[in-house]
Amino acid sequence: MAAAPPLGEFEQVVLLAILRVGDDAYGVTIRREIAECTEREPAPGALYTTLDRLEEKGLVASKYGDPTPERGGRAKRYFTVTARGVHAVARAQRAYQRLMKGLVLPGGARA
Amino acid sequence: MRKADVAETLLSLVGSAERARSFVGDLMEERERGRVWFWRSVTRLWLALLGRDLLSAPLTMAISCVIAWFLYMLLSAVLAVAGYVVVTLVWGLAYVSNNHTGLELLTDLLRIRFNWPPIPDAATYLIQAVVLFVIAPFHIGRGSARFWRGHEVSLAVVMLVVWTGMAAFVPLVGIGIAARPAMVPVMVMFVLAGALRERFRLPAPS
Repeated sequence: MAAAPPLGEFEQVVLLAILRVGDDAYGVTIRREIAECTEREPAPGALYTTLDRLEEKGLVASKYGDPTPERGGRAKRYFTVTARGVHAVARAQRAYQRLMKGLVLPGGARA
Repeated sequence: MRKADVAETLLSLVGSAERARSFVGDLMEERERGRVWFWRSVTRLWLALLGRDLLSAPLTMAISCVIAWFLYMLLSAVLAVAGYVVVTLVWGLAYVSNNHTGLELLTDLLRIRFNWPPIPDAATYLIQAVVLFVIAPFHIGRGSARFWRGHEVSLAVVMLVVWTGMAAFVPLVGIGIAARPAMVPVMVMFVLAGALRERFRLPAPS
């Protein structure tokens, strides 16, 4: 497998949200998951362009579901994290954990 | 046209039609947030997709716009000459039919002796302006919809910049008329109109 590309902070957030949501990961559920976990709602523009970018990098894959009436007959675009994506996000998270390990924050709190 | 269809059309000009449908479907699922939220989301998404599209292949788009400029010059010249010939004949036949008897008209036509007065300058100018600033850009726009489907707006933005430069340095000189940089926004507007017309005429790709 080719080396996983470095990830930006929001890219990691999106990848983790897709992994958390699982099989039902599409635009709305991913945005809700991010809002719930991070307490900030991502703009649709930022989310969809990030999803497109992740797909171009080969970190996520997407497929269209069946059209549903509550969406005016429009299909959902479901996302899954590829093996490369899992590798990239795990590597990025390990890097954060190494940086935090044993760190004494200003004010005396331990990480 | 319902708001979802309008939003879908707008988004399909900066990305694929299938993705635009999916984006709008997502927004419709949260329609209880209201009309303002819907349109604010569509606008922000549209701008984000446009920005991303512009950065995806700026050099290729710029080269396409330069090629389109020379095609535009060629198309304008052909249309202007054809238009001038047609209008001259129509003008002349109208003049002859009003100033000659039927027999004189027939002998004139048989001898191919066109002795009618020149077309007024205002009419010539109008024909040139319509061809240069409306008809030729409209056809360039139709072509752009075929080759740059889903990137029409990005191409128009790049065109606005590139064509302004081309008009400054390589202006198209018609009969007493040239494509000045100030006219480029009007031309690009008709390019977009042509692209939109073609978009609604062509079947969606499978």
